[in-house]
Amino acid sequence: MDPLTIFTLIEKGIAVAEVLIKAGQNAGPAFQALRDLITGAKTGTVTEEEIFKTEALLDKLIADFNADLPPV
Amino acid sequence: MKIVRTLVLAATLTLPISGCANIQKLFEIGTASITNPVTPTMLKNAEDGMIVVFAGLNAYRDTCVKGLIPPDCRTIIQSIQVYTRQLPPLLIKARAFVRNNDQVNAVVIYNTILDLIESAKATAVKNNVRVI
Repeated sequence: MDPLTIFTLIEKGIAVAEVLIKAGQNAGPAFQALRDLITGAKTGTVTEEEIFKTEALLDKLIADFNADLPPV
Repeated sequence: MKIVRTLVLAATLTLPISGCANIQKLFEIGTASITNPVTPTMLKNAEDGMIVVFAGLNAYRDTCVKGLIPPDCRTIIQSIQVYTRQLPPLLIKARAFVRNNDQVNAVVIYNTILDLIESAKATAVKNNVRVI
């Protein structure tokens, strides 16, 4: 990704993370993803280990969101 | 009241979703093609972007489940889930195709994932899920 794209993404990501914190939510995953993005942008490459970590985290977050809503 | 306002703000942020916050910017790699193949780094960047999206989505879901925002949020979540529930098997396939450098299939699946995200965004906009 080009630097402008990275900066745009980081800006949006920080805004999301900030609101998550203010709302008492866990912003850890958002910050981790941002850190990974920055690291990846710096090096231009990613390790298998980083990829597996990202995949596992994303899978969990998607599963959490996709779960059936509890009854009212 | 302040906390409720904050939670509503979190809720509106969640789907980086509509209006000025274009969800595709979180993937920002744009549509893939044979001349713009899906590399492991590109896919990981997209997944990092999705992590931020889903962290926000889950915050919206949490505030909804706790009853802190209007109950129609349940319908909105379910309408977004129509698209997000299609993602897991596609991600598995995309990862496999990228690892095997099967670009023809990787590009198709990758673009399908982007289309799903766009559909989720359209659904959010239609349901007046606003962003800051």
